[in-house]
Amino acid sequence: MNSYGWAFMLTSTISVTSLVLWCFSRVLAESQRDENSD
Amino acid sequence: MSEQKQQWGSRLGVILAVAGSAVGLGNFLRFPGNAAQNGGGAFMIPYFCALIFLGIPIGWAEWAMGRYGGRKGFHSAPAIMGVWGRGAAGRYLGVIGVLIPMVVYFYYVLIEAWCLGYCWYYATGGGIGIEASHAVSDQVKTSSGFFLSFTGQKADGSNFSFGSGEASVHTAGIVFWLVTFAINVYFVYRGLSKGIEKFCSWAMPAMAVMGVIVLVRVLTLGTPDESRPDQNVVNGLGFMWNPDFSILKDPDKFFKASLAAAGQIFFSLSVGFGVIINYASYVKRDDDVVLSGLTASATNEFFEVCLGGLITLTAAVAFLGVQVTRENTGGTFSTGFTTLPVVFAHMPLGQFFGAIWFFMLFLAAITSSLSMLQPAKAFFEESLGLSRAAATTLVSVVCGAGNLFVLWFSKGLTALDTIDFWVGSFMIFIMAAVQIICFGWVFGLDRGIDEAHRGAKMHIPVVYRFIIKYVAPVYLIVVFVGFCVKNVPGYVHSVLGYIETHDKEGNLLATPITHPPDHVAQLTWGIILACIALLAACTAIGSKRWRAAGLDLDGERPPDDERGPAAAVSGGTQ
Repeated sequence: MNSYGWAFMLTSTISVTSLVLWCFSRVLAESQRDENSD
Repeated sequence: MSEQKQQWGSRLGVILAVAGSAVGLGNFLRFPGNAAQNGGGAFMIPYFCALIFLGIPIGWAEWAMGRYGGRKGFHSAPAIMGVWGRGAAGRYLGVIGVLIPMVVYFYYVLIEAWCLGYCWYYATGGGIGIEASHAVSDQVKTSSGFFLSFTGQKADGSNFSFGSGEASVHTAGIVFWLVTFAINVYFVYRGLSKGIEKFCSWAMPAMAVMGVIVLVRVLTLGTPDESRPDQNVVNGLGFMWNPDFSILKDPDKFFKASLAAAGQIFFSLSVGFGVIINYASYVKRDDDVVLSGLTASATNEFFEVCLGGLITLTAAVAFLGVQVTRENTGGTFSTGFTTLPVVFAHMPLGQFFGAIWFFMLFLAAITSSLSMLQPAKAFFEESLGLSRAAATTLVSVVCGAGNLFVLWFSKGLTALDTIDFWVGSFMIFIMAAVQIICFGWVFGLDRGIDEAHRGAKMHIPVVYRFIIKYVAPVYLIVVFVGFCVKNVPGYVHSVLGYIETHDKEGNLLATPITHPPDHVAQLTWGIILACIALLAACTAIGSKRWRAAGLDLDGERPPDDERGPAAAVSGGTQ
């Protein structure tokens, strides 16, 4: 695999993984907050 | 309309259910082949553009539309689209939102049964009869032969030739279909929170764990055969990810890659499928649909890019080499059911990893197929006033009959392919276009965005106002036209027949060749039209019932929960 291949693979997978982790952390935090406020 | 109102049990539950609906075989099998054929790593440029400009905005619109419909007491696409489209035209176009999941289920559950069958063959130790000591070409032939036989592609009706020998494979196929069908009906009958949500809440994490196990196995393969040093993991990753920058320089190649990328995003995210609009109609009225929509899309992308993009072709190249991989990974079925079994035959502990892999595909398929039954069930409950049991029975009868039709006309998978093209592809474009136009133009962009922001802590970025109103519809139309130009003539020819007057070089033929219509394709069209008629008739009946019940079916007034408790009527029923 050439360096461009590594760049595309790492950029794509890291950005998607970061997005999914960020989204779920926000969902869980908001759900927790809602439960506490109830 | 007297049964207890249904809702999702938790916010995480609905996100996992929507993500489960989106994650399917296409994530693991179609995406890597698509990327490798259209520029490798460079494919990700049009791919992420399609995600940002098409998938995510239409998804947000669908979530907001569904939740708004739910607040008005509606849960089916025809009723909800009537509200957003402000009248009968929207309502009848909304029929497509029930037609797509219901009719796609006719064949989808069969693919699901194939996954269960392959999982069974690997888990019980038999595999599918591939001998690793034979030449690779013979192994591919064995794998392909088993798949053709298992799916009854050799002759119409062969799935029903019971007995011993090859026929025993057909018998097993019918048993796997019955088991799969029963599981689907059971969970859909159990309802949203006790059935679909509960199932997806363990199936989605289980799929992620199984996917990561297989991924770790694949990435640690190194060079499986020292005598073939070029067949290794790094070259496998390179096959999928090395960018071919010529697609960015050549307009024709770029348009072809953009079409493939948009199609992949579009079908992968399940936007325009009629599922999100139904699922979102059961969320609480102040749930953050913006974050939920983004999370569901991101989850789908994780399965597609991080698992599908790293596992499938990498393993194929490491064991079979670039040449064999290139020749046998054109489509979803050839990759999944022909090439990968050969890979597992070579892999240490291949039986174990084969069983895990196909069980993961089975889970991916079942979380999707559950979402296909639910919209039709909700629609029959709502339009005909049926109980949950009666609506589940009606959906089961219609879908069971559809399954038998596709099972019988299995030669060359013509019936499956015809439904997949016209309903599972063509009509999805239509539905998505109707949705985004209703959201941005008929209902009004400001009202639509305000509705999406209701209860949302995360707001849609301002630039998306422009994207939703102009970019997404234009993008969608361009992709749709390109899709039609490329594919429609062939499918129209198969239904109507045609006369070939020119050869491939464009020269006039001395004697024109007449190609007769394909009767299975014609029959399949008849079935699709019958389903459209059934759903339209139910919509007409439902319209009368909803009007008589005082529901705001043309979207003329705000939801009751905005007009104070005194105005609240019975709300959604299930």
